[in-house]
This record gives sequence, C-alpha cells and structure tokens, in this order.
Amino acid sequence: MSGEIIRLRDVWVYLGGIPVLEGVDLSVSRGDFLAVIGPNGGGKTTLLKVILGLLEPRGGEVRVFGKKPCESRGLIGYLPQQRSFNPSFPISVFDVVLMGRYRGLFKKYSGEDREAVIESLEAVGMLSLRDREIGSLSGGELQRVFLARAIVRDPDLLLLDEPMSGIDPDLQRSFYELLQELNKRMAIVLVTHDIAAVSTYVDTIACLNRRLFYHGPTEGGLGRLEDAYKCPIEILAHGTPHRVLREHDQ
Amino acid sequence: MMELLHYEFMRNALIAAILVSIACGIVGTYVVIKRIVSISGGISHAAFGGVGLGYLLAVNPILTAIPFTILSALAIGIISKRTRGGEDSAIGIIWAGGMALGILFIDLRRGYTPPDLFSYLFGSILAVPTTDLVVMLALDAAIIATVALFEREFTAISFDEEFSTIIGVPTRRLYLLLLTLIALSVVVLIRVVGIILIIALLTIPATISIQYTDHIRRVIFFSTLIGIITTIIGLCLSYIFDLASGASIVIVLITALIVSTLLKPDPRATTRTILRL
Repeated sequence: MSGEIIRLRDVWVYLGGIPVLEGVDLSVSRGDFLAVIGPNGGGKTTLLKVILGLLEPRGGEVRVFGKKPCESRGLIGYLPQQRSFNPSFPISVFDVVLMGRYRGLFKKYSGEDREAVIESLEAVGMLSLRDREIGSLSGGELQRVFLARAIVRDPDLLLLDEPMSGIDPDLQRSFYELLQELNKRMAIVLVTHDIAAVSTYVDTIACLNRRLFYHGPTEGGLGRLEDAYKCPIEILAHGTPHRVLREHDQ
Repeated sequence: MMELLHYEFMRNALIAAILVSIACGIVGTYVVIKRIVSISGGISHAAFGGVGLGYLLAVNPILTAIPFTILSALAIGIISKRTRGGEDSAIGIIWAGGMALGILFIDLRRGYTPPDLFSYLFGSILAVPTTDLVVMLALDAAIIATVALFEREFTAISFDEEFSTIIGVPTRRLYLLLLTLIALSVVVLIRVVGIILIIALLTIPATISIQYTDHIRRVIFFSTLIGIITTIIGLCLSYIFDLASGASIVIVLITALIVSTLLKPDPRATTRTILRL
C-alpha cells in the first residue's frame, strides 16, 4: 500500500461517445518502470491524461499518490507526445525548461530554480544548447529538452508519451539508458507503439487496446514476450504494419 | 516640422502614437506567439457595438467601448472552449453580433448623425481629443501592470496550454485575462487606426520583431519601437497628403514587414510572415 503511487480501478473513458478506455485496472509502485504498448488510437495518451487529471473518467476510481490526480500533479513529470508546436516561438531552451519549475502565481523563479534547470539540462546532455532558440532544435534534441522540462521539478513519477519519436534509432539506446538512470529516483510509465526498443529496458509491460492487459515482469527478449504476453496489438515499426504477438482470446 | 508641435492636435497625435504602440507592442506580442490573431480580429470588430452604445447613451463612445469589448472578448473565450471545435464559430458570431448591435444602437437614436463615426471605423490620429488620451493612458497602465504580474503565466499558456495546466497555472482564467488585455488594447487603438484596421497593429510589429530575437521581452520592446516609428511615419503621410491615418499606418507597417523580411533571408521567417498575412 505504501509503495503504490498510481491506482486505477475499473476506469471507463469515453471521448465523443466512443469508449476509449474500458474497465482499466492499473497499479504502479515506487521504483517501477512500466511500458504500456498498444496500437494508435488504443487509448495510450488517454490513459496518461487520466493519470494527470486532464480527463475525467466516466466511471471507476483514479488515485495518484493516494489523492485525486489533479492534486498530485506537483509530484508528476510529463513528457507530452511531440506534436506540431509553434517553431517561431521566441524562447530559449533554458527558459522552456525553467517553466517546469513554476510554483504558482506571484512566485518568481529563484536561483535554486535556475540551478535545477542547469542540472536537468546536464542530465539530458543538452546544457551546451541552453541559449539556443527552441525552434532551431532537431527532433531528438527537442525531445531531450522536453524531458529536462519534465524532470526539472524532481518528480516522483515520470509519464512519457512516445518518448522515442523523433529520436534516431542509434540514439534511442542512450535515451533508454538515461531513463534507466532516472528510474533510480522516480517511477516511470511510458506509452509507445514501438515494442522492439522497449522490452530490454523496462520492468513490466502492459498492452492497451481500450482494455488493459497487464503482464508481469519482462525477462528475456521478444521471443519470451510473444510467449507470455498474448494480446491483440498491431505494431507499426519502420512504417510497416505487422503482427508481432498472437491474437488474445478476449 | 517643429512648429507643428505648437498645435494641440499634433501634440495629441504624437502622444497617441506612443500610447498605441505600447499597447500593440505588449499585447500584439502575445497575440502573435499564441496564434490568436483571428480571435483578436473578432474582438476588435465587436468593439463597434460599444461605440454604437456610446452614441445611443450620448456618452463618449470610448468609455462604453471598454466594458462592451471586454464582455465580447470573454464571450469568445467562453463559447469557443465550451463548444467542440467552436472557436471559429464563436469568432464569427461575436464579430458580426457586435457590429450588428453597434449599427442598431446608432439607428435607435432616430434622426441623429453620429459626428465622427468614420474616425472610429477607419481611425483618425489627427483628431484624438485629450480626454481620450487620458483613457488610453489608463488602459496602457493597466496592460503594463497586468503583464508585469502575470508574465510567467502568459508565457506558459502561450507556449503549451496543456503543460501549463499540469504545472499548476490556472490556464483558463489566465487565457480569459489575456483576452481581456486584447479588449483593452483594442480600445486604445480604436481612435488611431480604426476598428477595421486594428488587427494590423496587433499583428505586424510583433511579426517583424519575432524574426530578429528569441526572447519575449525583446519582442515586446522592438514591437513597441516599430509601432512608434511606423505610426509617426503614417501620421506624417496622413497630415501631408490628407490621407486616412489608419490606412496610412497599415501600409507603412506592411512595407516595413516586407523590407524586414527581405533583409533577413530566413526562409522559416519568410513563410511564417506570408502565411500570417
């Protein structure tokens, strides 16, 4: 009980009358590194938004750090899915990360906040680009800066939405090693449609396609996975859809 | 040129140019970086309802425009977030609704020809009365104070509304506050460029500045400076050739934008500017 930080019980979410999450149960404890995989439109982003309290479920219970999600946001770091953002926005890398230290109305950023920004930029290897305009970064650099913004408040829980999008395959390894390092300090939940890169680094995997199929610890590579985690997922890798895991009975 | 400053209308015009530039420098920067140009267009046209209300009640139209424009801005903000994908429609409704009310209000005073209706629509920097300057000064002060207090929040919601909600910024309220500031700046601008052309001053100075700097405060500073220079050039053209001041200022602004874009051969900035216009 004391170690449990996320608890979802029978959570139902509808978007525009269409069910996106159906009776989802989920439990995440301190120190966990959970990967939620599933097809596009399977509800992965929705699940993160429920944990963040950005979406109110129609049914079921959500507790984060034992409280309502919106009351626990101070303990959560969030890396949103990369989407089109205004590339001409006049702001430096440093100031983007500094926003992650926001503490409330009329509270100015302190020297301590600025040090935290430098530390987290250093952690993601982006300190040398601190003065660059945000619109001039590559996809991978941007992803690292947004990760720095997510960890700059030293959260106890880190939520990552498709963290590997925009990152070159050969850089993904070092990105995962960075996440593993962070995992010593905080629980991590990442959602992705890319199972291949996930399996060797995370502790547990869950499959999400409106319903959540929660599976035990990962041991071994994809071969074991196919054996153990039978759930219906279509995986898009390198632009080619192919079925990796067998059809789930349910 | 200096002896022109002996005329009160000329001194007032210069002061108006500066007051207008402060409003459009600060608020225009957020309009451009948050990409709410269309909303601002809706708010500025809706302001005509407030002007008409002034004629109906026989009070200074600038004073009635303040509450009317603020309410229009809040209405756009609330309607657009409540209805799904309703922002576009909300803009159209408030834009046309405000103007229609303005026309009806003027109609309701039968047999009355509003004295300087044209100057509210098209602007007339050479005819800004001192009382209106006082109102403009007060509104500028309110804008400066608000942005000084909520600079961090405005930056956060302009950059990423969802993330700012997560880090604890009262995003909805700050957004409505930003729309209120747009309403105030619209009232500051009415006399000088006119309702129809306000959007140019809220958009072009910041669009020019943003090409040259990557810091919001500097965008605000440069936009204000560009506003002052172009407004004064427009004022001179308006005086010398007896042209409508609002239109003159807008043409000067667009010329400045084209020149600045050509001087800075950044393809990203160029497409950006063209798309926005």
